[in-house]
Amino acid sequence: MHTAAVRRIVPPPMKSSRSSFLLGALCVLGAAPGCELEEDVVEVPVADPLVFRDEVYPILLGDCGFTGCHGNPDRFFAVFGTARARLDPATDLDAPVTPEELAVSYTRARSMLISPDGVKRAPLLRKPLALDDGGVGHKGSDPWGNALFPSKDDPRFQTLAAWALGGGQ
Amino acid sequence: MKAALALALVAATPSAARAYSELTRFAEPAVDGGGGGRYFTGAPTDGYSCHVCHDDVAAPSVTVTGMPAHIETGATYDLTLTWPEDDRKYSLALELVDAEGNPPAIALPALADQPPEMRCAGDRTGASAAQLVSVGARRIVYVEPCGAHQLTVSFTPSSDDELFLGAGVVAADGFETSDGDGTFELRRTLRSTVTSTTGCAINGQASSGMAAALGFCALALFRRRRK
Repeated sequence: MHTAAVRRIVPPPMKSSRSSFLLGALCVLGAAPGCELEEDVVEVPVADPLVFRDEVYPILLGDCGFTGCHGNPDRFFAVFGTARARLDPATDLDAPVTPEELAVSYTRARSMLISPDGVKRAPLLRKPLALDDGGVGHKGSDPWGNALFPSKDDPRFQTLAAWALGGGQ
Repeated sequence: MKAALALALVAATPSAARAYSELTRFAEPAVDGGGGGRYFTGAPTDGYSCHVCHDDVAAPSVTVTGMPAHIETGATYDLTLTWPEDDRKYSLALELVDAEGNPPAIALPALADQPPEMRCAGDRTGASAAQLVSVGARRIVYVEPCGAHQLTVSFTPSSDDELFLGAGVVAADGFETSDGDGTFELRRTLRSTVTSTTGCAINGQASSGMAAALGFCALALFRRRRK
């Protein structure tokens, strides 16, 4: 008999009425038949959707949302919008971001904040960060070997970190 | 619930709907469909080149002439890129910077000296397809997709520091999406001594190490056979 850990993802306690609609982004992983289950709970950071829209999304769209990178629905982390990758290929390239694109970008980015070691070590913060400053490596480092964020002092990193850490942990 | 989330997110989001084929678009915010300050030259100041968006299914054949094996302070070099004269729409972005992100002296030929190949529609009296743009300290050469098929640019190093060259050529198929386009990328590290003209760290020291390793392996094989 195998033993498998089931990671149940739950939201942190609600702190405001605005947080209530964040429940829509939650999911529960299933277990393989015949396994005994041990529950391991991971909190999904609140990650304010309005801060995402106004401050985080512009960074992710500008630096990550290329069709050859994370503007790709097949990627775990994906971001979509105007003049970059469109979630629906039928959308006019220059049309404003659609509600669905923004919602998917938010959900995918928020999923990248889940880490067993806490939000500070979440993939969204560590993958684009230089190895010298705690990053973990990223195919998106440019061909000269430069990471997207050369250090934690980069204002873009600080915006992402403030958003990631601001709501939950 | 999902719809409520989507509506809350999109409310009051700024919007824009313009074409993405003009140089000015690269400076505009990404949420407005701009480059967010990226010009996709492929130089270290941008990092990324056109390849991050445009497909590479039909890479154009681009000829590069005048690439110096090494550079000397105060010398002027003429670099020429030539791409096919066909139905596709070609655009180009090029940039040279040192390790601090500062450009060398860089110039385009005077309009009167530009051959038809550098002009829109390949017309002998046409406008120049190339522009030299200042973006802060950066100097970016941009060729608009108006029918030219050659660029010559001159640069003059002002010190012995390394220069990093990045250039990207997009051959667009004329459809709105980036699918079906082709790209050509050029990256070089130009050094003031005769070592290497590529970005890879293959220099004399590394070659010596490789030779020593090969010698060691050969010796080990020889001794093993004798046993």
